Amino acid sequence: MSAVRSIAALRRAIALSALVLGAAAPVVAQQPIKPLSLAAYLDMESVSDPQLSPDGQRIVYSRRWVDKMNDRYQSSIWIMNADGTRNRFLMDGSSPRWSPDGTRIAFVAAGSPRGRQIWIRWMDEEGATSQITRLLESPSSIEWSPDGKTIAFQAFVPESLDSSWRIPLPERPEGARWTANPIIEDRLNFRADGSGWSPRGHQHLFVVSAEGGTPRRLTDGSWDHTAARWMPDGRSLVFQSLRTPDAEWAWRESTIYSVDVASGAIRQLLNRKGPFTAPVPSPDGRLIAFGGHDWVDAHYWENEIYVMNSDGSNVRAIARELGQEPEVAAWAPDASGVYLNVSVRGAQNVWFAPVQGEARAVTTGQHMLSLGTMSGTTVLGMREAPHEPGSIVSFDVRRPADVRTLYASNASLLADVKLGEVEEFWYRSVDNLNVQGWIVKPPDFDRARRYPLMLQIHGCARGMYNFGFDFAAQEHAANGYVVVYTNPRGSSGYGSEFGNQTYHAFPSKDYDDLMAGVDTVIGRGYIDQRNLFVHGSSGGGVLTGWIVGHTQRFTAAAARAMVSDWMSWVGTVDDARWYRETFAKYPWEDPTEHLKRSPLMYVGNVTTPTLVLTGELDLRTPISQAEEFYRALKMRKVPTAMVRMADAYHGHTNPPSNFLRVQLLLRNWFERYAVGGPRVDTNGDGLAAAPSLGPVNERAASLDPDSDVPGPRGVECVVKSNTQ
Amino acid sequence: MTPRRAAAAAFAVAVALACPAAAQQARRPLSLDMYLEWESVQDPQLSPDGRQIVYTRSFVDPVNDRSQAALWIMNADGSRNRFLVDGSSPRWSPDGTRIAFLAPGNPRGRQIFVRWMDDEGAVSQVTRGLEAPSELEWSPDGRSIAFVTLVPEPLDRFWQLNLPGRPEGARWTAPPLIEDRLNYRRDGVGWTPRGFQHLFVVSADGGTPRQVTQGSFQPTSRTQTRESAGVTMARWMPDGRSMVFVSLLVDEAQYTWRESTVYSVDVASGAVRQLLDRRGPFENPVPSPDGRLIAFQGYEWTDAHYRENELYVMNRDGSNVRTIARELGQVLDNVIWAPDGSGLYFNASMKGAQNVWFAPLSGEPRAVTTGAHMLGMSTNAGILAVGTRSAPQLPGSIVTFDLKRGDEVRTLYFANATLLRDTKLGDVEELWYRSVGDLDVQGWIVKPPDFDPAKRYPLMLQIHGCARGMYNFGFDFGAQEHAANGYVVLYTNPRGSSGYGSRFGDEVYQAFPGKDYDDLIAGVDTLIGRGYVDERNLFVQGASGGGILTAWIVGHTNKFTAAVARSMVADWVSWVGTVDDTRWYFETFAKLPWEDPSGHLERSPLMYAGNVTTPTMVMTGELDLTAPISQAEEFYRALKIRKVPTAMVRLTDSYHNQGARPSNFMRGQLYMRNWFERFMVGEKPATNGAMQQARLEGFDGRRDSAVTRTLADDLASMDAGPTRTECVAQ
Repeated sequence: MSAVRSIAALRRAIALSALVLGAAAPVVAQQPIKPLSLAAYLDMESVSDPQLSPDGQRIVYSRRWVDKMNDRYQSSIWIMNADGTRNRFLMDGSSPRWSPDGTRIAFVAAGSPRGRQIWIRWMDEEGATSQITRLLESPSSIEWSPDGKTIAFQAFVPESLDSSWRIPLPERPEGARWTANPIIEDRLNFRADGSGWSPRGHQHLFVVSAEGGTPRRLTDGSWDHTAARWMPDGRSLVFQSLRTPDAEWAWRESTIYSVDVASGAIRQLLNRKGPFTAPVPSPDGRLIAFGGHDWVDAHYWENEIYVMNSDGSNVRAIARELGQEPEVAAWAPDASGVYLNVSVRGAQNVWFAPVQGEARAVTTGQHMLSLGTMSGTTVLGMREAPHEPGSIVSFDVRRPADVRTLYASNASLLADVKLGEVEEFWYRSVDNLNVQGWIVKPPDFDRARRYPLMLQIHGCARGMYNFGFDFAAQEHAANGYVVVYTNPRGSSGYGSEFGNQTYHAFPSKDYDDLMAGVDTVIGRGYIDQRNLFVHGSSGGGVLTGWIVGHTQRFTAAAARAMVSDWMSWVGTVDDARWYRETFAKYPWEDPTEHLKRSPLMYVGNVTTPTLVLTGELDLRTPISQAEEFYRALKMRKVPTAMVRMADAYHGHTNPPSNFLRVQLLLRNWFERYAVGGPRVDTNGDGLAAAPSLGPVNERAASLDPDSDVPGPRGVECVVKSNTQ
Repeated sequence: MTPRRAAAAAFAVAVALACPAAAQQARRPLSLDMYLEWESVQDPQLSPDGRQIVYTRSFVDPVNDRSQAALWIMNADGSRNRFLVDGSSPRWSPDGTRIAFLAPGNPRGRQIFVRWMDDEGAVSQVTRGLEAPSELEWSPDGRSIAFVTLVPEPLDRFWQLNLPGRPEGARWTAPPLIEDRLNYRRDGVGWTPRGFQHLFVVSADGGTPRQVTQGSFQPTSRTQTRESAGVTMARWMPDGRSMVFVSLLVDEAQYTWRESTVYSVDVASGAVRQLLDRRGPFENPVPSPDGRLIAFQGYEWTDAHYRENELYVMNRDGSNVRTIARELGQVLDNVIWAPDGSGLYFNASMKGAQNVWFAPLSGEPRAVTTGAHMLGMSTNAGILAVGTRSAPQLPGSIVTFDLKRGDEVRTLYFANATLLRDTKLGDVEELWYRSVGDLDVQGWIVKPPDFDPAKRYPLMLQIHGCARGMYNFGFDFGAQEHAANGYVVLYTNPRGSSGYGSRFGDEVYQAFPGKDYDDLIAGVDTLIGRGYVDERNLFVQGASGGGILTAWIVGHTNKFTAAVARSMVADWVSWVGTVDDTRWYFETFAKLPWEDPSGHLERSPLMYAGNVTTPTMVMTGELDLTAPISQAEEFYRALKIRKVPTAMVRLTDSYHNQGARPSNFMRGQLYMRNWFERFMVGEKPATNGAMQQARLEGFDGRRDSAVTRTLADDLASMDAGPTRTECVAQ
């Protein structure tokens, strides 16, 4: 019944390429093979943002690793030759960008007086490095001007709360230590997950000389201005904003503007309602490519790729239905079209959309392959695959099948590790919908045995599980679980119609899709049906809460970063626009749908032992949502516990030690209720010296503002919004 | 009602005259900075020989932004009033030679101290436990002191994780907080430690305390301090061999609601026996002087919103339970046996006044004192009783009176007398009016100091917390300070309030908010009928239950010019999972949201946000655990989505009681008027001089959202603050 598409051939190819990569760590095949250990997470590194020099000779990129002492991720900039040789550290910092003539690199690094600043490094033998901004608010999104003399960037410009809020508080005595003033808030959206309370103010565009000096602000008003790119003549920048009154209330609206660098005059180029984003000028400056779609009240709508003349006229779509947000990665040097990074059906590949004609795939394969930068016909990019955590690759667009791996991260770490097999499968769900999923098996999988099954559910109804490497799933598999993840209706990458199946209907039949996936895997005969477990985070936490309210088939469940009550969510979620993605009406207009789709309303049916786990700082699905579900289960005396992750926002597997804790806590909970047999073997790491739980009530929240980047796997989603 | 009002006014004049030569001085209105000098008195304890009074004085520490308390002593005639020792909860030993009290000590937190009341005055710390003791009780022979304290229990060890790869000296993020209890935090305290309160006994000469009760249990008594859970209200039997106490020694007691009963424990063996076998919130056992009877209060279990306690007596073995008083207010306070065992004295709060009553073992209860005031007896020695009194223009004083002749009340010490001598307070007028259902409702009007009935004043309606609160004849600094700034302040006790009988209080059974709204609006209309209110400038504010009603009001009428909903609940559905104590929920709803959400929706202010046009500020303490700030966020966001003028004020270091920090009390006063005066029509009321000179300050647009400071130790609540209207979960 399940239309399984075997990927054995591809897997062999990947395994082979892994061996080839492994050549750096010689005689891999002869090493003792062990399963992935949780401790290996602390040694995992990742690579990102490769940038090819304009002459195509050199590559700078970012490497990130775990700082085991300080429990955070750290990154720095490395450099290598275009053939992968002479791979070496260059400097601390991030976002390296070559100057157009290749003589310099601009990058962002910590500087005075505080925060991050823009730096320039000359790429000659002297290697002089100069800090060129000294701003109070950290700059970001740096863009070299075409002549290499100026750098455009975006930075926050604070605005202050209206002084009418001052009150005549009686004089305080000298040296008084009074409690701090209250926070007064009068904005619609006033905090953001991952950063906390949002400072008052907006993002503006600036330019600064590449030789340093005073930055000049280009934009004005109380709006955010983002995604700026230079026009090739160097006279203006195009950018994304929504410069209208009450922009704060708008939903899925942003458009394209240009600003004249000399005069600061701003002109709206595109006059359409919808989320139009990320303009990219063609090399000859005649055209501008961008993404988006006309305004629609859908749950999910795939962006189209448009081009327009540089004055905003003659807007036409050149690609559509290529995943949620195909990214315009580069124009062809001859301006004949744009290269896109396209994510569909769990795989990412490079596509080409000509200005005239049909879009076509440039690369194919079951991997996550993306184009980073181009020089001539040479593409520099990144690739990830089920057993390949992340590599820097290059290929020629004329010979896309010939992808060269320049640097494979974690190759030596994984050289003597036996990973679980990852099997793609397709199955049929209700309404005859075909759904894609993956099965991760224990390393020494024996199909004659029966394994506990762990269903994991992706975040955000619009997420997409994919062919990327999944440390968390592999580590659960290494502990004896068959891990299943699928992309139920509502997921990205299967077309607007599939994605929009959850239009005003999340959760609903996505539940059926998940159950059909579990049934399919059970049908394979190697699942111990007494031991079915389910967990998920964010949207996956909502579905986990929903599942235990709709079936008693699972042995235990863990709902992470969940929403249990849509009514209370509207007022507590960080960004009010999230709400519009899920509901047509507000609770005070008509609460029916909110109740009908809230896991809390089905708690009366729950018998499954259910753990709720949320980051204490979560602002997307605030911990009050977990408290509501936890308390309801507790009142009904259903086995439950609430785990509140310290220092964690919505992505509660950050900082790194929290990733380790979540992996262990999930199995800790599941194994309390596992039926039969000995407890599945837990690896053996760190059995000695179990750290205590620590004082429960006296914990100082020490939030490290520098810890960036979430954990391993990107199934997060973004609100389709006005600006960022 | 008119004679009553006249009596109140006459009393106010009498009180004002008691502040000497007040009339002759140049008088200025009350100013907000006076709050920093405010003092209050509590808990006077008469020595067994009736000669000395030890009492607690609280004052504002204007440097450290908190209230502080110390023990003072004076002779029973009010002379030789002087500082005794830092500490609280003083209790005379039965022979009057010593005082036991609580004060900070070694190794941490509060400890029990004993002070000899002789010329030497030696003070000894008699406990050194890790957990703070409370509820001190001297044994009848004066050799031991009983107390209760927390016995911690650890979290199940199966939760320990074998976290790999942590290097020596690493600074990793803290472990998660893991919770598996039904109720796990408490407003005013924060996260509650795991464990239960048990009864201990320690020698009055110091030594190792002995744990008397054992086990894991949690009572649900309604007037126990919300800080305790386990054994509470323990009292010695006169033979000194056993104690009676309140608890609920059943499995899963935390799931019960309004259930507690009376037990006795043999102090030597620890053997516990249940004396009372009735279901209901029974509490506060008081043995008779001869040990033959035990008085207690409570009522048979009911799901009513409000039910007034009955006073019972039973034989010491629990037999022959009979009621000796009923319908004398919600809770009878400070129940004390007459020395001859003929009946019980207690404080009863009714119709906005508190007085001392006597209930004989047979016969009808009768009032010992009368008057439009808040008079509370705390101890007696024979027929001499000592207590405190507060009245509309009298912030709080220590008084004595004769239990035989309650009309002769002597004031020994007036708090704030000097501070108020040059201050002209606003007149406080009691008011009765008729509301829907022909219900008579009591209220009070506080007028600006130079009130002129020919002028028209902005009106500020303030609404009490907790449907069961009771505004009263006590002094209200908050209202007086608003009145000093030109507002006519109105507060009333709508249906559901305490002190008007079980039936009146239960009018909001499964109906809060409901017709209490009509009662409030009828009060406003009554006052408008007086002709001195500027109808263009009607304002409303309230905290807790009053915050809910404020939000309800703006969803049901557009008559108010602006509103401030403080510490509100906007959404009953989300409240069930976020309120500190699940028992709150049962007081308001028969069903849980997942059983039937219709009542919750119907009574949630959020559901009426679509009707709101009144500019409405929401103000909540960031640490509030009773009406968590997520409730304020829900209402704020709804108004903001609808583009109704609104702002959210998040008070720092504040639990549900927003005024616990003196600076936050002042900020609350000022932000309310700041908001109202943005929308005020016509001339704004003059603020008084002291305020205009004050430095302007007061807001942060941004702060780190992680709030870390804990308040548990320095939030002694100030009785001097606005009228106390808090309520406790039954």
